[in-house]
Amino acid sequence: MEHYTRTTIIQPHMKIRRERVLPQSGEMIVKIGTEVSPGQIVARTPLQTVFAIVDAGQILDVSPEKVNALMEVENNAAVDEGTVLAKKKGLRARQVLSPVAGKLYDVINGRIFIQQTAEWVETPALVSGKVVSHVGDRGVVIETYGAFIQGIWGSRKENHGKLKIISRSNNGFLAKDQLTDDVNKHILAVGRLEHIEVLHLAQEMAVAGIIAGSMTADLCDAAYQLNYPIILTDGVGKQSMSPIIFNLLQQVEGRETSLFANYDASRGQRPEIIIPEPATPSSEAVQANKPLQIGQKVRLLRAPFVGQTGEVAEIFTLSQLLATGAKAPGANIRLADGQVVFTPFANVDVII
Amino acid sequence: MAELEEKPIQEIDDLEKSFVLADIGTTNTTVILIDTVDGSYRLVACASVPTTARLPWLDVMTSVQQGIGRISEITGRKLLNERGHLIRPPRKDGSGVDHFAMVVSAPSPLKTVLVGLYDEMSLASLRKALRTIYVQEVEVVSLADTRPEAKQITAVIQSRPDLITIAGGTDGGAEERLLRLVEVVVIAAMVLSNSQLPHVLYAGNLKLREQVRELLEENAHLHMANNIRPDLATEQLDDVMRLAEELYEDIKIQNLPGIHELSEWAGFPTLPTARAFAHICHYYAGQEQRVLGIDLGSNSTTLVMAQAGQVHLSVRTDLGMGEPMAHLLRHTAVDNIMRWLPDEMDEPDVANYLVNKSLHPQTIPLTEADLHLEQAAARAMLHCALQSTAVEWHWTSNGQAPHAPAFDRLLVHGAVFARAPRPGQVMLLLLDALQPTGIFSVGLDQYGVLPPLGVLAAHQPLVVVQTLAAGVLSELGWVIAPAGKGQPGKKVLDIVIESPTARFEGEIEFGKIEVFPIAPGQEAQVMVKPIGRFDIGFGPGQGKTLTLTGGLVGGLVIDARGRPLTLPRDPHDRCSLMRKWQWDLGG
Repeated sequence: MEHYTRTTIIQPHMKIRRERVLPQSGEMIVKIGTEVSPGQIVARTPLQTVFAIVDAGQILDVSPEKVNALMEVENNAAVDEGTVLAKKKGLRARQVLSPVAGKLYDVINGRIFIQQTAEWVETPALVSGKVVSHVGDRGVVIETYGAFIQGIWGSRKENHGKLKIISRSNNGFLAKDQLTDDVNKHILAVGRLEHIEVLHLAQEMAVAGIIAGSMTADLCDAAYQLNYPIILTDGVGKQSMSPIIFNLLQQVEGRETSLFANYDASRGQRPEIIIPEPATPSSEAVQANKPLQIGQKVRLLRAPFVGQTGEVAEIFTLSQLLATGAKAPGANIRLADGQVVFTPFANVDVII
Repeated sequence: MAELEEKPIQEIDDLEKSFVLADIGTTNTTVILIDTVDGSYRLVACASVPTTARLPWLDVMTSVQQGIGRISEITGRKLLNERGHLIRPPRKDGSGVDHFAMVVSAPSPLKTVLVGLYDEMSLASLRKALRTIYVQEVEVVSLADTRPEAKQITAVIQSRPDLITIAGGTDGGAEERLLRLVEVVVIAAMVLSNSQLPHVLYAGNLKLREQVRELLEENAHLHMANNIRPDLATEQLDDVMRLAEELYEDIKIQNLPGIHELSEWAGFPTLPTARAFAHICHYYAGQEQRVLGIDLGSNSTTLVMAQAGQVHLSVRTDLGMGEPMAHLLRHTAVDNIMRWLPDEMDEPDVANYLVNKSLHPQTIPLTEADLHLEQAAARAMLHCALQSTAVEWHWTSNGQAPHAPAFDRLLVHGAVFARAPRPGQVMLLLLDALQPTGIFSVGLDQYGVLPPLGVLAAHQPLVVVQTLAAGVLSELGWVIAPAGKGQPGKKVLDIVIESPTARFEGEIEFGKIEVFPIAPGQEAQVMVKPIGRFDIGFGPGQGKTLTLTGGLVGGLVIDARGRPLTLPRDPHDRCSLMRKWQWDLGG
């Protein structure tokens, strides 16, 4: 009987495909086949959400249904600030001027809606690679090769920069005195985040982003307000960064790193860390939707073994008794220290 | 958007058909097999597997196939062919089944913008109607909204809603103010239609219908419903409820990855899980008068209050034991969780637990501390849901602590209940969270059968009746919870329990909760007489003789702790009391 569990991809080198999409239809700036760099804009769309509203009926002193007949500009026409939108001639001549530059969107019940000149919403590549396809008229798919780490929590922002390991160990926390001038524009990797002041200082020092094993729930709330992304790899609280992840980051220190901390959890997306490297002949994509196998490397998700890694030693389909008195199917996991513990499938995270 | 062709509902002429039913939730998928045993329908087997709607699978079929495969292992009955398809109809070798049906709650909720005149009138009614299905309120526009109209338009566009609902104005009433709000929707719809036509549901002043149609029909999928408030005294929710449910099915269920192939198997219309659960509660209400149903799911909490001919349904997608846990502290203070813990814990540890549980909703507590914390969070969650529902459905008057109306039967569904190690823990959790009064029995849906049976309720009532009668629920037992205030240590009621094998006389003091022994499944005559002004549902001081059956908790639970529950301020004393109550109920 197959058993599916949660999986986390932590790979030193693999083929990666990343979608970069706009919030709505737009213009593709780069063609398929183009090599892109992280800061390069790949797609853009006008931000069409800002409007100005003018009550023409009131200004012209006419009933709403008469305004359309007095319009000087048609729907969808471009207007400048001061353009005459509507005019009433005669003894009590009046006119309606556009308060902003934009496009005349519509006239409803005597009121004129002007869509202000749009700013562009631009989507950068955020990772170096090659554009391999378009996603309709909303974005591109970029293919690259390199290290790939799925995180657990992200602060809904994105950025890139060179990777700098701040902690000496996977349990070290970020201290104020470690935020020196050379952290500017870097992605920092630390074992844990503990203090809100440090997060604010990091913003002042123009850090490009932070990768941490964990931070407490109150810092998560504060992190949403920062201007740089934070990705947690192991959980919320005071967990250390998994040794697997810490060791991998140490190997790639100094390389350009991209943090994708803006993700759609409702689709099962996770925050991602991508560190591109040149492709090797063996570079392949990784399949994460496979059933549990004996010998697989796993990470445990709940106390009393939260964060510990091990190997699947035996799989039980029939429910086993837990320390709480409940029962659940699961597997025996041989931990790094040799201890064998039974863990429900629900609490197992396979490291791929 | 893909559309399925209408399929005729299959008529079942004969008895002795077999059914595979699936409940596809956000985190787990439950599959059950119903078949006839000795000429009567029974639950034969059930299985629960992780739902595979999201990455990396993006195909719910995988989880249903897994669940069916598990059932095949349990029963030795082949149900899937070599290509992984359900074998239908049954073959001579005994493989296969006659029918398949499913209920679904896996999709993300409908992102909905509410547009209405007044919070306490049109918006309140809209919320009540929309909360019968899985919706997430992403933006609200009303007369009380102080933002400039241009900002309102921007906000509606940026919320990227699945559905915009408009209500307001009695029929024939003032029009201009509602029209102004409609104009916001018109402009937003025009922008949104550049990507995809938005759905707009209009349930306001009838006189404005044609004008609204002219303004919106080119740039929206427009749905018209009866005015939700045709006059100040009348509320018409049915039309909005029906349309909202249809839209959830069209926009969300039909776009669930893998659902189309599963729909080819289905012989009955697929229902949202909350609706199916409400059907079952209504079935029980036909027998047992008043039923309170609770489904504490991963991504939502559903409350159903049913009595013959009437069902109130409330679905809260911002309360659930999975992803919504991260935001529980927006609805309640951390103290309201910690008060239920039998061991002291730091506030940051509670907050950390809530976020971690939201990140790993499928996980199971392995330590007593984690289990207690999960159950404490469940209490707080349920209490929040009850509070808001009590206000929405006018169960309580101003100034009263929110509570559910008296009921005769409590049905509970959800992993936090089904996986609890001891029935006493479930009973205590429910009594702490709901703080009900009166006399009622508690049925626990241990195997997750109630929602999937609900999909058959309208089409195959005999299957439902016989399966339920065979005893698929875990009967936790009866509860008597007197209403009234007293002094700790003072007598609240006298009780005499007579069974074929024993007679027991006792009393209970205020502030206590006790289990009076009746063996599980055994009937007993119970004579209960409240003292003074205490009321068990028949008037102050009025007693009653009842025939009650013992349940898994070990007997008749009498909860004389008073309402609302008052806990000691001192954390040490409070923890000690929680441990005592758990002990008293065998938790």
